[in-house]
This record gives sequence, structure tokens and C-alpha cells, in this order.
Amino acid sequence: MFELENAKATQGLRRIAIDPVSRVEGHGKVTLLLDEQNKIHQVRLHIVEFRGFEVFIKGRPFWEVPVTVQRLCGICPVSHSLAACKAMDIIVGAKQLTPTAEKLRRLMHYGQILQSHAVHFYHLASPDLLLGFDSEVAQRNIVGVAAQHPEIAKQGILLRKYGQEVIHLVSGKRIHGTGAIPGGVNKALTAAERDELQKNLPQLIEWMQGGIQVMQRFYESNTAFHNSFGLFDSNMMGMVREDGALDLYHGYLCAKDAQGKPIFNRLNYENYTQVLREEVKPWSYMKFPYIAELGPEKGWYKVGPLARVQTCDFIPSPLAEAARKTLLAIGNGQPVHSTLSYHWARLIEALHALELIQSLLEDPDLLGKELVLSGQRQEEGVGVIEAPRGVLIHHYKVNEDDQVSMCNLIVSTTHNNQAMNSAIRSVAMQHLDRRVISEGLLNHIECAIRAYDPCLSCATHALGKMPLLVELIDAEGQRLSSLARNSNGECRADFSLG
Amino acid sequence: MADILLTAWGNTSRGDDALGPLLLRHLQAWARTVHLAQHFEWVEDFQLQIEHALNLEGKTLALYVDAGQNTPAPFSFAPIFPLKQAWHTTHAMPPESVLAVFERMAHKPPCPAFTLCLKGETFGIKEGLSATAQNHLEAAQAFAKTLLQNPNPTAWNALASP
Repeated sequence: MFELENAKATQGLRRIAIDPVSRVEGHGKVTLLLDEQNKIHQVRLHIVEFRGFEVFIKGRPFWEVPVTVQRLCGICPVSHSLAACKAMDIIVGAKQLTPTAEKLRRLMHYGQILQSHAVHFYHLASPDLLLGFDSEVAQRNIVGVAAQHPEIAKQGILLRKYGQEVIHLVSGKRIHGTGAIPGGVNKALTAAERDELQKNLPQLIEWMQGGIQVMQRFYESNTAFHNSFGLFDSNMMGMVREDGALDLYHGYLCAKDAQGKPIFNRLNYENYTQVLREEVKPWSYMKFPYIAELGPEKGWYKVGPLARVQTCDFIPSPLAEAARKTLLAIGNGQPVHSTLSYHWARLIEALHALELIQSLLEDPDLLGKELVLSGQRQEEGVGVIEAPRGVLIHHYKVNEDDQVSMCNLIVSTTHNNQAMNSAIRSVAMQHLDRRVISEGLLNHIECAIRAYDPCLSCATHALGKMPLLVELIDAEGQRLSSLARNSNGECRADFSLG
Repeated sequence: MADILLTAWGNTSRGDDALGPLLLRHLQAWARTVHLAQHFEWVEDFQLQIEHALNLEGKTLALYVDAGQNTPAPFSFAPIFPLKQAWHTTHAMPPESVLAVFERMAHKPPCPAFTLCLKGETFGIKEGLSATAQNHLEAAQAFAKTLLQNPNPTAWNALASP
């Protein structure tokens, strides 16, 4: 049980709801329980929507899956498509792709990282950072940023647009493209398309370096606030190459504890079930993953940019690595856990993505024509990728009729569930406890959630254990009957009013 | 640099929602044959977002083309102006909000802008237009060509729907 997860007694407590949490993807709400002195007794991030992809994907032909799962999300469809494709590569016996296919997929993925990080920082987070957490709410948005910082807003929009254009040219569409298929890709890149993408890249890299400087100035403007905001220690998990370099497309899973010591290292991600478990809580549709050997109380962890730049040993591109060292220096030899540092790390990754795109565009393999491979058919495949928000796991079994018989998804934001709850509890105690609650203070809670760039619509899915309440209401609003299912899957009907 | 902006939006897999993109593609092909294409910036998208405000920079005239439900047949054509209460916080924006975003970002009014709204009938998931929408498209093609041949606000205002 975590502090502030459950109030000892709820009678007489006042409830404040932030519903919906704004400037995030998907729908969630935060509830706070306070007493008459505004002392906080309970804080929870609730996920209020659910999707049943793991269930309704069963029975579908496996080659449909990379297209279908993109519908989980409009922000990171490429990540879902690629994670599914990586799993299906194993199913079709093509674990190692042609160099051209892998590089095209990587290009698509880096475009996705760039566009997602840009939309988050410039469109969603920058209003808080540039205008103030408690600035005028009607101005606290991207248009307000554009009015006061037009160049920054314009750069953000164009950086995102470039990332989308990379996706478009590689996958055929900016959203829900179909370029990646089991065993490779179905579309080659032309020289003209490559040349188009090479235009303006140095300018974009310069802009992204400027974005990192904006974040660094924000940090330096109030280091005490920045270092303490939403602060808590936690384990971290990310994917690295064999040499310890950050790899956003393929590698091994690594986990470190709050002090940076390894928990597990270079784990083949096909064995993820050996190290990860998921817990279900009755008040949220989102599960709570944890590292099995540490248990749910101590084994939870964070993923995504801040975890990634610290679980890797280095970033294999020079500008991003230099920026990473600057960020890590604020920890004075210890890992950085301050919540707002997620933004800083996110921009470093966006710079890394641009550097990788630049490098790939100079690679002759990119214009190759050998796009698809196949081999000995397999029954089970796991695909893992570093999506913009963190480790994304797709796991499938496919029967002899080519139909999916099992699907398990552990989505990036799900890994961060406990971390986000810890962050908002930390902020609530630091900034709201025993104070008169204002909109600006409540936005501090949202700022802590936003730092994780959660994709709540991706992260909610049922595997038969989701708590659910169905009520039948008549035209006058009277409840006629209800059916409740708890987190153990047990159902209880109440027809007493029917 | 092209100084007239033509923006069309819609989902070509959603029946008559394709009217805007189909009209834009037709006009672009036609403009190439009559050597007018260089005067226009052609933008096609699924929906309007704040980034479309950037396309207004340096333009002298803008046309926004979309499919409409329960709108006049075969199409309506009208001037538009920045919305005072701009709507920018959801997945899609009306063109009036795009103009408003430009105004706030650039600290100057946008160029004169017009909408051409083609009436559609069916917007379900399918490719291809309904027969009625096809007729509306053909009518709009002829009308839009007259606009592109005489791209000035005064002439366009004179052609606005009553």
C-alpha cells in the first residue's frame, strides 16, 4: 500500500476532481480527498476509458495486426505498428530483416519519436513552462505560447511536421501508414524522397538544440523548485544495445534502481515475463507493472525519456550525448529523478532522433530494393520497441490457421502508472496540502502527469480482470439494475431495484 | 513563392468526405496544364490543425475547401473571418479558428479568406463518392476554375453565395 493511495477513512472528507486531465492523450482524472483544514488524505490518477484490443484481436489473421493495433493511438501509431511487426517477424521466420528494411523501419521510428516529442513539448508542455504553471488559464495553451513566443511555437510546429513527413514518405501516410509488414517493409524510398527529407535538416537540428537551451534556462531559473517538483525515487527501465548505447528500435531490456545500480541487465526481451508482473487495482482501468523479484511495493519503475537516458551508458550521437551529460550533471553523480527533467530528456531524445535521421539519409542501404524476408514459420513472437513514452511490449501467439490466439500488450504509459501516481502525491503534499486550492495549484498536479507525456488511451486494456460496473438507468435517472465485476473477475448482479 | 493558399481537408476513405481532397487534386492537375500551378500553395489534410496557420504567412488570398453535411447544394462559397473565440484545443479546427490562430501568432490580420463547401450525403467508411456528391464535385470544379483564373478578393466576394 502506498502513502496517499487510500485514505484511512473517507467519511467527512471533501473530494476534488480534476476531470479530465488536460493536454494529455486520452482521458483520465485525478481525485483528491481533503479534510476541513485542506489536509490531503488521498490522491489517485484514475484512467476512465478502456479498450479491448487484446481480446478482439484474437481470431484475426496475424498479418492484419500491425495495421489494426495502430488504432490504439493517434499519437504513436508507428510504435504500435513496429512493435507488432517485430513480433510478427518472428512468426514469419524473419527475425533478421534486410538492411534496407530495418533502416527504413528505423527511419520511420525516429520520425515518430521526433513528431511525438515535439508535439508534447511544444504543444502540450511549453504553455506551463514558458507561461507559468498558474498563468491565466485561457492563455495557457499553444496559441498563447505562439502569441508570446512566436518563433518557439513556429519551430515546434515545423519540427513536428518534419517528423510526420518522414513517417509519410516511409509508410505512405502520416497517421496509420502501412509501410511496415511482417518480415520487412512494403515500400522503398526513392532518391527524390530522400533528398526532400535532407532539406532543412541542419536548421531543424539547430532549432532542437535551441529547445534544449530553453529547457535548461527554465531549470536554471529556479533550480530548487525544479529539483523538488514531483520528486520521488524509483527504479528505471529502458532498452539498450549490446554495447550499452541507447537504442530506440531494438536491443536488450535493462533496469536500474534509484541509485543507478543494475537490477537486471541485457535481458533478451522475449523473456520479459520472467522479470515483469502486472497488478490490478479496483480504482483504475490501468494496470500496475512491477519487477517480479522486488514485488509490487518496491518493484515499480519508470520508463520513457528520463529513464532511458539513464539506463543507457551513452547516446550514440554526438550532440545528444553532449546534451545528456549536461542533464546528468545536475544529479551530482546520482541519477536524476525530478519529474520535470522528463521534458529535458525528451528534447535530448528528439535531437538524437534528428541526428539518426540525418545519418540514415546518408546511408546507401536506405534506397535498396530488398524489402521482405521470410523463413520458418513460428507460433509465438514478442516485439519490443522504445516508443516515445517508453518500453512497448507486444506479445502474440498465432495458430496453424494464421489466426491470433493470444495477445498481450504492455504499453509504455502503463509502466509509468505507479510513477505518475507517486508524482502527483508528491506534488500534492508539496504544493496543495493545507492550502487554499486554486486552479493554478491544481494545474501543478496536471503538470506532474504531463511530464510523463502519458497516452492514456493506449494504456488501458482489458484482459478479463478489469473492474467494471454496468448500470441500467431509466428515463427518470433511476437505477433499475446493475452488474459489477471486481478485479478478480467475479461478477455480482443487483436487480433489487428492477 | 506562391501567394495564394488552397487548403482542402477530408478523409478519402469516408465516402463524400473526400470531396475536398478530390476537388483540390483536380484543380492542381488542371492548373498545371494551364500553367497556373505556380501561383498556388496546395495543402491537403485530414483535418485542420494549428500548424495550418503557418501556411497563411505571406499569402494574399486563401481558399478552404471541405465537404459539408446539410449544407447548400451543390456547394456554397463565402468569405470567412477569424473567430473571436478561437477553438484550438481539440482534434480538428474550423478554418475561422485557423485564421484566428494566425492573427494571434503573427500579430496581424490574415489575408482575405473564403470557404468552398461542397454538399455531401454519405460519410461512412467506403471509398468513392455518392452519385449526388459526384454531381456536386463537377459543379464545384467548374466554379473553382473561375476563381483560380481570377484570384482577387473583390472578384471572389462578388461570387459569394447569397
